[in-house]
Formats: sequence, structure tokens, C-alpha cells
Amino acid sequence: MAAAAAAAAGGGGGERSSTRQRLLAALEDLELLARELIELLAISRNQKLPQPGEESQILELLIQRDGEFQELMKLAVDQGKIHHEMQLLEKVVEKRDNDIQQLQKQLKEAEHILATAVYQAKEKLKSIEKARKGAISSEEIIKYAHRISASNAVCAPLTWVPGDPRRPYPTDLEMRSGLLGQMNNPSTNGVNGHLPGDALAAGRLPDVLAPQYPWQSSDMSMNMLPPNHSNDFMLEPPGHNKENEDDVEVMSTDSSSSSSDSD
Amino acid sequence: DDTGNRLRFQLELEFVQCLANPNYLNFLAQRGYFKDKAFVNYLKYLLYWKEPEYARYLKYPQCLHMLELLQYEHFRKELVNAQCAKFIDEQQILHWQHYSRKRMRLQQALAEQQQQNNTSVK
Repeated sequence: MAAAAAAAAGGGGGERSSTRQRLLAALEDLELLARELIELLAISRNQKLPQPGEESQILELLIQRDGEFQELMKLAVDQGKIHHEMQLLEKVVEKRDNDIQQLQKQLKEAEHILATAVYQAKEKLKSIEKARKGAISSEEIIKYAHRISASNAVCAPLTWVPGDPRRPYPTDLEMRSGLLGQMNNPSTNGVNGHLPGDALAAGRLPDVLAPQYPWQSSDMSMNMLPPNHSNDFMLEPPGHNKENEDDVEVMSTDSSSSSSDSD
Repeated sequence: DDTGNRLRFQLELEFVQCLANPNYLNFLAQRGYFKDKAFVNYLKYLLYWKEPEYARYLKYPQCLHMLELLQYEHFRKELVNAQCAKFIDEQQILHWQHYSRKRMRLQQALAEQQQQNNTSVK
């Protein structure tokens, strides 16, 4: 009887236990009740029942427990179905997660590529701008190249031999014959070694006798002004106004021919 | 004032090109011009000749290279030595002859080739 009471108490427990636990509890109760019934029947076979109603009581309990058990089984089946569905949904969620990650990767890659492309395009634009700023007509360049080459300023004359007084820079003689030289009194210095006497003896005075001195610009018809500066160079010039565009007027591009030597 | 500016332009044009003459640089160094702060500032000021609108007037554009070097104190100090100036002079002349020599080599090569063609035709 005590066992039957315990079984009754266990079966009707209000705690939130899992279905499995409840199922197992119900099974235990059934087992317990069946055992008691069998014991009772075994005893009653040998002797008279002390309490006649006990077997029917146990039987009732047994039937009740069985009913509970059946219900629990149904519940278990339903729960199983739900669990299965849950697993399917979880799989779907996982797949979607992967898809999202994949898309994220691709997006990042695309962003990287685009950023690189944009950067390179900007660099290209910068260099285009730079090139455009320094654009010079080919005619001007050719004229300038002719000017500095034909006068043997940057390229030696083909018949040059050691002893020829010509040089890739203004010689002493030329310096003294120029504007600078004329301004000051010519001081005695033969550091260049090319005194007028030597040049005369060599019979080569191409530049001196020319009315235009070689390093002077022949196209001075326009107003080409040097940048403004204070005449006191002791002070640090505060950012030379080289970009004094107001002073520089438009120049004519057709410069007169260079002072070429006749050699 | 305009004529003053024109004169200044011509003078500075002449002077900056004189800087291509290493002997002149040696001369200036030995007389202590490179130690004068005002002169050094003037050299810095002359850098405007690097701009294309001014450089176009230079007959000796190599003076700009010398001008750039002159911005360095070490270079200015070295120019006191005559050997330094002589070395620069020699190098300049050798470089000056570079294109003439190249042209002569090309002409020689062309002449040799033509000779070969003539002999093969015969």
C-alpha cells in the first residue's frame, strides 16, 4: 500500500519534468503496481484476503497509470515530430547563413576591386592634368632644340679638337663682352685661360664679333620681366614671387633665328 | 621702371648662364662670394630660371644644373679647389662631345654598311 501511495504521489507530481522522465516514472509505477498485484494474487491463492477490496484498488490504479502512460506516449510522438521539424528548419537557417556569408565575401571583394580601380583612375587623372599643364607645342620645342644645338651650346662642334677655345659655357671673353662685363670695369683675371690674345691667335672668334652675344636672348621684343624681389638679399626672400604672372605678358612664339656660328 | 626691369632681366640671364663656367665658379669661390649670405640668397632667388617660361631663354641650359648644385653648401665649399673646377670642366667638355661622337659612330656604321652593300652587289 505504501508503494501504491508513493506511485500515486509520483504520478501526480506538479514539477516540470521532461516527457522522458515522466514516461520513465509512469513505467516504473506500472511495474510497481503489476508486481504488487501479482504478489497479492499469489498470496490470495494460499490464504484468504485480509482486505477484499485491495486487488480492485490496485487494478484501478494500474488502469489509471496505463491511461497516463498512453497519453504520455502520444505526447512523445508529437514532440518527436516537432523536434524533427525544428531540425529541418535549423538546417535551412544554416544554409541561409552560409549564403549570407558568401555574399558578404563577394561584396567585400567587389568593394576592394572597385576601390583599387577608383584609386588608379584618380592617379591617372592626376597625371593627365599634370601632363596637360606642361604641354608645349612641338614647334617650340624644336625651335629651342635648334637654338641650343646649332650654336654648339650643348653639343660640341664636329670639328672640335683640344685647343679649340670654344666651350660648353660662356667663356671669359664672352662674359666680358656682355652686358655684365660692360657694366663693371674689366678686372685682370685670366682664370679661364682664354685671353683675347689666344682666341685671336687661334683665328676663331665666332661669338665675340657677332652683334648678338651668344647667351643673350634674341627675342627680347616682349616684356619678359624677372620676378620681383627686394634688392636686399640679406633678408630671406619670403617665398619668391616667381609666379608673378601679372608681370609676364604674353610672348610671341615666333622667335628670330638663333645666333648660329659659321663653322 | 620698365627699362629697369628689362635690364635686370638681361643681367640675370647673363649671370645665371655664367654659372655654367666652372672656372668662373672657382673664381667666385676663391674670392669668398659663396660665404656671403646675401649672395647665397641671390643664388636661391635665381632658381626661378627653372620655370619653363624663363628657361626658354637660356642658351646654356646646363647652367641650371650648376645652379641647383650651388644651393648646397658642400658644393660651394668644394669649388674653392682648382682641381674640383678642373674636374667639372673636363666632365662638361666630355659630355658636350657625347652627341658629336655618337653621330660620328652612327655615320661610320652607316658608311661601313653601304660599303658592304656595294661589295656584295658587285
